[in-house]
Amino acid sequence: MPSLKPPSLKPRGELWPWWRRCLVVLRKEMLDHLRDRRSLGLALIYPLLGPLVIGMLLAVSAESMRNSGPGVRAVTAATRGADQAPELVEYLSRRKVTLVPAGERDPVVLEIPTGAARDGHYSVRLLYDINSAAASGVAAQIAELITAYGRTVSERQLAARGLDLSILQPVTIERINIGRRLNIAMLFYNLIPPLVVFMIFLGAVYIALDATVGERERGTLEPLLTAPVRRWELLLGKAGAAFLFTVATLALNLIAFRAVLSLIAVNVPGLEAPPGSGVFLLMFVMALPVVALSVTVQLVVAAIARSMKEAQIYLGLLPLVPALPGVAAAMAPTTPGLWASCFPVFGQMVSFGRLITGSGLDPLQPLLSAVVTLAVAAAIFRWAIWLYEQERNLSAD
Amino acid sequence: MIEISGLSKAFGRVEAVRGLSLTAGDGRITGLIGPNGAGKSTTFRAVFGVLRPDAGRVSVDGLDIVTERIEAQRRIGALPDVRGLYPRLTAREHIRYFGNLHGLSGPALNARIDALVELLEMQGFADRRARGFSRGQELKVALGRALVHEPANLILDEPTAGLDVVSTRAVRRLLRTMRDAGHCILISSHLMSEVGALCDRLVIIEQGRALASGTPEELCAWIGTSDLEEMFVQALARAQSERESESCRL
Repeated sequence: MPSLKPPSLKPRGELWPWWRRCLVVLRKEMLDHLRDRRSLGLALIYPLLGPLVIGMLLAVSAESMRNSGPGVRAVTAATRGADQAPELVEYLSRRKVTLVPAGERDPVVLEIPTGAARDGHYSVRLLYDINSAAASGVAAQIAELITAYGRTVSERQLAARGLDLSILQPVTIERINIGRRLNIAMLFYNLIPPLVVFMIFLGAVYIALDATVGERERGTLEPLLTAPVRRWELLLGKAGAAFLFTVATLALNLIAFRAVLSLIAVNVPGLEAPPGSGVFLLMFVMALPVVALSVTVQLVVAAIARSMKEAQIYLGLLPLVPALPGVAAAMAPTTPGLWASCFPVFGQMVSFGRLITGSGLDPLQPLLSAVVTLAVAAAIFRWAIWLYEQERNLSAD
Repeated sequence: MIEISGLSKAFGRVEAVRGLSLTAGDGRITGLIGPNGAGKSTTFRAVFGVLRPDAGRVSVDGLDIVTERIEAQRRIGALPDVRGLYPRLTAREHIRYFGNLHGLSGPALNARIDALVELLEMQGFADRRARGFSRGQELKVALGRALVHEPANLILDEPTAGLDVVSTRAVRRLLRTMRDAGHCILISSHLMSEVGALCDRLVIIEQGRALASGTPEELCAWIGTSDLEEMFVQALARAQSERESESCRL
């Protein structure tokens, strides 16, 4: 057996500065997790989900809006008693409504009563399932046309008696769309901030888990703690790796949003264009403190949880907490003021919203948000260190 | 040199170690033996700097493991009872990681890793990822990790558990070589044949206290037997009967 050279009784190696020890831990975590195809695959898929879902919803909604309004889109409905009101049937058919004889299970049925044409005034029935979006749309279109037809008949009958319809309808509404573009897009663009935040808290969660509670469960934590490294240095190295992974998923998420929405805007005429690349770049920079906060929160949750399974349950729900206020903000009729910047994550979402809508952003707002968020992240990181110094958190028992 | 004086450690109501004192000198292999639950692993964890003692002191080469932890840990090569390997890292990468944490890098570290791979006969799996390693292979990697910085003090929990005969002999030979070079080696083992073959000094620990200590010969003479295993069993029985008569007196 070969032998080692005579060992020295003095410690070999030098005591590296703290940042170099952190880098050693960070490098090991990166190497370890880049080899984990499952978590790496998830980290790459998650950022694409939000943009794809929003993109599909936007495309479908825009298409639906373009085709909405009576007489714009051709529709078909079943009918009973079409021969009782030939004038109405002809009126509808001139406005792209095809009426076919009713069968057994038609989604929309128009029932015209017997003797309708003879009496001159009658009531028709529209039968449809309100749970079916398509049937509801067709029914609404036909109902609007029938109302318009009724008005035309009223006008004609009143005119025959030398009267004006305005006697019966002193106030009327004329709706005029002054929007040049389909502003439905803005509704979806306003959902980007909460989705980005959701992704930040979810994107690299497995890495934060595996590097902490996973280490404890695998039994690798105890050997690691025998090495001459301070607990906070270990935690900082691990947090650094989780931070880099989350930043990568954030970048991918924003790039995907920009690419998917641009593609849809190009292919759907009249659709409001998505925010420019500069806006997404600013959002990326402004989101970095949120990434730091998400990583520290994940470390704390992983320390408190007794097992990987328990931590996964908590961290699966965690993204909803910061994302929900953002959804509320996106739907709110008014934009919150500077006070919103005092709330980590919410402040950033409000700033994102202003950037997206192009409503002007006071630089103080994102700056204040960044300072507050980083301060809270630092406090939570200090808590995480304290938790990792507790002996009860060292073993999986 | 490792000095433990009055070490106590409790987990809730369970007193794992109660006022334990022992010294593991340089140039000696000291064996810590005791039944399951005697407090061996807790004692080792306190020496590693992983657990903080409730009372007493642990020092490594005169450095307090609590107040001078980093400096003390630089002088320790630790083999905990849980080997704990990262499934996605190779054997060589494990040793490199711990070498880096001890401040080693570059050609010196590479040469050291190569030497350990050869010494612990890891050539066949040194560049394989640890997922699926046998217990013996895991132990070799953990040993390599403990030895990478050539520590002055080696603390090994069951250092040959799971090894085949050839590897067991190699590890024993390595420990003797290190002892002869002046290293302090503290081991725990359930194998009386191992402690008999390796240890210069033994400490019997029972219910968190040191029951007796001395050379294997001294301990055998104390009990009046030539067989180490018999000595161990009788020493535990004697402690048990002393405790019973003590409680009767009370």
